Amino acid sequence: MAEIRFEKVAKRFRQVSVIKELNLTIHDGEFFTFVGPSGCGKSTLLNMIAGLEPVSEGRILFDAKVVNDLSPKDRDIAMVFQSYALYPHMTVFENIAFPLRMKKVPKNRISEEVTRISGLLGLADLLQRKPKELSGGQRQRVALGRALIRKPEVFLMDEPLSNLDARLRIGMRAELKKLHQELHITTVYVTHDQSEALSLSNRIAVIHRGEIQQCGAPREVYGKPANVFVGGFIGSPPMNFVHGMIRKKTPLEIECNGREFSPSVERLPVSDKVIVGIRPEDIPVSSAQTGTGIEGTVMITEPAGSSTGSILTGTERPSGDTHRQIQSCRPEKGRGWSGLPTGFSSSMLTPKNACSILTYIIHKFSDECGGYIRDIMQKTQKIPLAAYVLSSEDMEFRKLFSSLEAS
Amino acid sequence: MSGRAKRAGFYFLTLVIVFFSLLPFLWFLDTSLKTQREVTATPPELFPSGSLHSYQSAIEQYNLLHYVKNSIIVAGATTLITLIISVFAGYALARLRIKYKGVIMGSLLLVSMFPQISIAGPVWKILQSFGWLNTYQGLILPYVTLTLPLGVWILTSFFKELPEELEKAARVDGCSHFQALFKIIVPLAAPGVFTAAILIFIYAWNEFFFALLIMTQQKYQTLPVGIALFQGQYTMPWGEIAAASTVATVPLVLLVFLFQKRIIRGLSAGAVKG
Repeated sequence: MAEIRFEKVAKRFRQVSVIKELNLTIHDGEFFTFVGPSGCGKSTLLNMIAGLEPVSEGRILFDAKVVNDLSPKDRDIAMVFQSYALYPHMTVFENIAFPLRMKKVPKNRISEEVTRISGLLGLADLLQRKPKELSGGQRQRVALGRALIRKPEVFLMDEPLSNLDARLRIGMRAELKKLHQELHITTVYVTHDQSEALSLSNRIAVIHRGEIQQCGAPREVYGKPANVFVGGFIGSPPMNFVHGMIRKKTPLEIECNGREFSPSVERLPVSDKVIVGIRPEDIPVSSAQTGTGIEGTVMITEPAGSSTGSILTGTERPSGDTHRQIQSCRPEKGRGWSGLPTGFSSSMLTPKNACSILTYIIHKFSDECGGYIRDIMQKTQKIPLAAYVLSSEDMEFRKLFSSLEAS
Repeated sequence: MSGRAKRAGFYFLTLVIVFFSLLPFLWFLDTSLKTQREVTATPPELFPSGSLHSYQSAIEQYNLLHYVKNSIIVAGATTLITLIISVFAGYALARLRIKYKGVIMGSLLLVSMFPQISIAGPVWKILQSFGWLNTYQGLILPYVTLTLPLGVWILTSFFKELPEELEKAARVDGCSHFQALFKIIVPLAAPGVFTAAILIFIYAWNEFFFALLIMTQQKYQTLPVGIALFQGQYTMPWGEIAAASTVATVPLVLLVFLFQKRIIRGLSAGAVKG
């Protein structure tokens, strides 16, 4: 087991910078996940740890040893690939045994080890089959077995579950977690699936455009997103963003579409314009007009099994010059979604179907926003910048909204 | 048209095409089994008496096996050398980051299209200055050059088809670049390797022009040249020529039959996602 340290690591392909100066320590025995949209550089990071891609600048260390120039076979790592990358011309036994055969381990020990691993993963009956005769889940297990048999210092996984069907994926997710809890091997996991990242990891790093946007425990990244990108990427359905203006700085008063909030913040935003992020589960929807909420029209409801799992997309009534879409996954208490008919029919427009969006729970954003906002600003010259206000744990804020709800 | 008529039409057409393609082969097979008198009979006789005299004569008087040996040496060595170079070149072109890959592949294709006659003179000069006229290597070298584009193209497209992750997996599992190539990539590209091997072998086995030009001494002549020289100033040993031609064709037919499945897979690779 090993600690992995990145020191000012950068990666360029020709002139294109894929990873910008990265500093990060992945602790010994940790389950660490790089999560981000495709093309963000996360797989490149994994390939650099594996030694499959050279590092353009900086150093990667395993414990105290610089591994930049070590070839993959000398790094004592094992890797599971998205496509599993099983060797099609070898049987399951030969596939699992391959790393040991390359190490020139004696034959009887290889067969002992393969038996042990195949027992652990429930592959004992399949050893003589070829990969093409296996189901997706079985192939996945063989790939895991081939990685486990090495007893590596570091375990690398490149989207290992994304080719499985949804049910199997959740099962395998639990198995991976169990396996990590048993073996405590430092594991670096790469995925674009934020729910996978949140459920598996000790810590996650959200990557976008070759930079870490935020790194921390899943709860922390979900609860206190560092910038708009993280807020929008982590969480499903995604966070709602509302633009607001700062009216007064002490005490802080923000106006969002004619509604005023005075949240308390650790640090004041730099600019007058702010973006407020609101989690869909923090926006209760009511069929009655309360007067305190934002009036809107239900556009779509997407049932997702349980009532709280539904996603509702509504359009805010014209306020100023905008029609804004807001998503909620929190129905009225005791009534579920039934009081809020869905669809785009004309009946949608009757007052009965109007909904009120009651509460804003506003997450705090740091005012040092990531590249995302800067880029948008450069493109549009318009969109407001950084940050914002109240975390969901903020007591004053809770008070504010409980009073809103009460009224 | 009913389904049955359609099918009958299909088989009839196939039969006609196969018959036309096979006719020359069938004709010299037929001729090789005739006696001297049957070959020259007027009107011609269709069915041979089954005499093996032509074969015996081709071997004993015309030294057929000597030419077979030369052809095996030249075609075998050409195939082996071209394959080895093609495996490395194909792998590099398919996998490594090389500048101007398209230009390299394009030039290879271009080179393979030069008519032989246009390079015959310089090749002869070069071989002469090496003192390689009338040596095996003197024929193998141009053959390797001429078959390389084919080998490289086939293998490059095969290696490209194989998922890169397989090789990454092999390297993580403890292989060097070379081990990954020979333990994982080449076995998986076997259909491609076989296809390339057989096409190269057929080319080298059949080639006539360079063989005639470079091998002027009987000692080193290959089958096609040997057979052509069976003909004397006043004689035309049809039976022996037919027998030798049969002997020259049979190994190729056997090879293709033996590896039929792999060749078809090889030639159609990339057409459908496997």
